[in-house]
Amino acid sequence: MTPVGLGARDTLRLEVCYHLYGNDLMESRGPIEAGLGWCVKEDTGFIGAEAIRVARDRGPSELLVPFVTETGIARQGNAIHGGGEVTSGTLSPSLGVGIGMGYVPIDKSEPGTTLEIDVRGRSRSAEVRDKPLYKKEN
Amino acid sequence: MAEASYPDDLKYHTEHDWARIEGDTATLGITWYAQDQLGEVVFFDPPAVGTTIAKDSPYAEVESVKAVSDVVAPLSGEIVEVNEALKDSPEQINEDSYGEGWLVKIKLSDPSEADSLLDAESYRSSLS
Repeated sequence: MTPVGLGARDTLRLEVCYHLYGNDLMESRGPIEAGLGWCVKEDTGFIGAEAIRVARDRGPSELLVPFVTETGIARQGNAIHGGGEVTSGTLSPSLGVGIGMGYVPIDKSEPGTTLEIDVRGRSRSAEVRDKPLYKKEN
Repeated sequence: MAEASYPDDLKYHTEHDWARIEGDTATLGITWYAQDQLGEVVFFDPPAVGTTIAKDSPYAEVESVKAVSDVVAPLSGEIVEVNEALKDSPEQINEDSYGEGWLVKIKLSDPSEADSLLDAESYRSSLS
């Protein structure tokens, strides 16, 4: 048996871009901007359905996207230049680079877009990627 | 490096740094205890050559998967060389913390500061 801790689990879930409540999901963010619209059926009339219907119709102003950093590791709370912030970040053991997720303005959410992230006073470049960041080859 | 070790020829700072003093220059790094506490170091971003660092103040960061930690300067001076090899192999900080895992070399601005550092035995006993 090998001991496994939260750090290991966090790298695994971030590589495949699974959200973590308290990091990537929170009361102040809705499922549409979190990219979880497919989980939500407004027609069932749950509490809050109307707000989500409006968000879906209008389209979100920010979107949760995965990214890869050029050097270093961006962490939760790091600001993204031009708006938005990092909600999760770690080093990917599988990819050997810093990875993360964050909310960015919709015009910066396309895969391939370059982001500049303020990591404790230093600007670090990152690139928006597709989900998942890592897929095991069969 | 599995075994704890604190070489006798080094000076130690209570914030878990070591200094190898040679004349008016010193090589700096973190101790076996520090790397053991951090776990696997995955990123080290050295400060630029020419930067002035001050004793007891942070001058660099070492990063493990879970956390970022400041590295505190054991002595004051100007950075004259940084360990560029750590960009590609930061794990050397774990594997060889007093050798290949050195962080920076500095030109001392006040060599007498070394008098306030601990020898290996005092540092070792401060850990227990």
